[in-house]
Amino acid sequence: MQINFYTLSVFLIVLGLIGIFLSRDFIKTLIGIAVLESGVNLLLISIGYIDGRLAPILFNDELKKSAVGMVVDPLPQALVLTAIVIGVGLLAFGLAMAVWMNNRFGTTDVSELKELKG
Amino acid sequence: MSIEILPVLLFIVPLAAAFALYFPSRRGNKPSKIFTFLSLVANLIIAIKLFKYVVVSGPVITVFSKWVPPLGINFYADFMAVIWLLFGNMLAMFALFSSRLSYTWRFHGLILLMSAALNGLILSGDIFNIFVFFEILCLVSFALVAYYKRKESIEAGIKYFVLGSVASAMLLIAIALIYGKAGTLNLAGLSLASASWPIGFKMLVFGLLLIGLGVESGIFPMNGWLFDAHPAAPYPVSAMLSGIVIESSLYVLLRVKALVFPEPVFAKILLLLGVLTFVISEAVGFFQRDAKRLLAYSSAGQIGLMLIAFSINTTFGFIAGLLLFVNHLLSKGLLFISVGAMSDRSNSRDLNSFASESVFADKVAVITGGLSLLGVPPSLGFVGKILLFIGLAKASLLGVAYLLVPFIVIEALYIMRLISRVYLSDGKGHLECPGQLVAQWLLSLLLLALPSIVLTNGQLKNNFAKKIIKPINARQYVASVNGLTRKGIDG
Repeated sequence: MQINFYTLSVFLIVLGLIGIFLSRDFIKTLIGIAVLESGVNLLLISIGYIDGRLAPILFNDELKKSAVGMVVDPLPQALVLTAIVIGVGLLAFGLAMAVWMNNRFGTTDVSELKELKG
Repeated sequence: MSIEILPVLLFIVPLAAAFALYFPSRRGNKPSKIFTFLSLVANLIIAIKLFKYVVVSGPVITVFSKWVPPLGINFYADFMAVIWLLFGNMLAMFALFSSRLSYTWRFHGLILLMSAALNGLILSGDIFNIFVFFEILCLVSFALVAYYKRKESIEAGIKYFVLGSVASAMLLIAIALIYGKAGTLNLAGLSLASASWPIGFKMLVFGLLLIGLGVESGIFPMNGWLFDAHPAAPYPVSAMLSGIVIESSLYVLLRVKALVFPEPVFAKILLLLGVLTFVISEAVGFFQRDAKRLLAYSSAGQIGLMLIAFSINTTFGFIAGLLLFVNHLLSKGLLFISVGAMSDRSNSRDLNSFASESVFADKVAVITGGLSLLGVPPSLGFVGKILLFIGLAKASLLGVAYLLVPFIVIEALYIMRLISRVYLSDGKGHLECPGQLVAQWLLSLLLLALPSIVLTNGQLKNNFAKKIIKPINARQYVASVNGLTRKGIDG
């Protein structure tokens, strides 16, 4: 079966959003954020993908001259690398926050957060 | 030294200082604070130099590694950007200067990183770098909001974190769609390419960008985090969040809108959101009992006013927006520093008791800041609001102006309540950090002096009104980017 990457990425994005806004546990929210980020990264990379072409890894001079017609668009791959790194940083910070939350409130249940009103 | 290096330095200096902070921080909080202060002063000096150059001789464009736009990465500093940079760096310096000595190197490092991210965000000329700087800014802001690690600040941090992560994902989706359609991420390239996009696609991308940047800039349906984060953060951070962080996201939104989405329908959407933001924030702000939360609602309201001013898209609206920005940055920075410091001293944020430990400088600061935020006649806020009304009248939007008046009165009522609480307090508290006093006096002085500088300096006034301030035009932007980069590469 042929997988359509666009459909898959939209599915992941929607799944991630549902996970973020419907789960009561902060860890599950973080998992939702991770799924959402994967979906966005898949969308970004499938935009630069051209069917039947190679990865843009150019290891010698000859390839560099002749590769334009053979490889997929390299820019989205560079962007996705950056986005993955940023996403990992974000998730790591989120997990650190979950630890603080667990130390203070004794739970990671978001519905327990009632210090602030409004 | 060529002038093109200045925008890069604005980003590199605080970033390098944040890493070099390791050495002074080993000797304690005081050397760490002095080092941070000196690097922020260096930043301010660079920003002043850049401001002077741009006012006299037009935009500065820095191209990295000789890739001419629409390819490659560039920094673009035009008149609007240097105003943001000048006052943003000034506020960062004052906020750090007023901070308490008990804040450790973590706080100083995060403030430096925040300053670097803000400068990069304002200068960046392509949309993916905007995303990267936006992410740095978000992460630093989450960490600073949760700095105290109290129950309340962790809760505010978590709310902000969830909304911010979703916002950045939406921004990245918009970037992916834009790249798929245009094949470039450079704003100059995009402003040429976007003319042929179908309106439905533009609506989709604009909606995603609006969610992405709107969360951070506190536009109405997405600003729920703001009212928790501002009170929970340490007071220098509240001052920076309210004075420059939300405004610089607004700036990026306005710039992308002006270059890529020039159709009037998008300006109308922003105008509507601006009115909603202003009306709802002021109406809810009236009922607040918490002094810092009250100021946060007023910040969201002022963002609404700026959005209205800039989306009228005439010269009057543009000047009004700039004046409202400068006025809000200085007065709200001053208010947050004084009110936050007072409520830290009295250990209460309740409107009835927060001012029990005030000192004389607090009274002066709150009166100056509050009155100029409201727009009492000699202040910049007054000029900004009058110009806003003239702009609305000239764009035949007088109905909007009538709608705004009652809510401006409501804001005046609750800010006056704050002022009266501080004014009537006995003023016998004792100060723990003299930096706070100096920052308060200097900011008050600046607020009092600026209107007369802006309004009486003939040369400045002529340049402001006639030559420099024009609504950004996509064609001019592309022409200046391409023209200057060619010149830079040939020369």
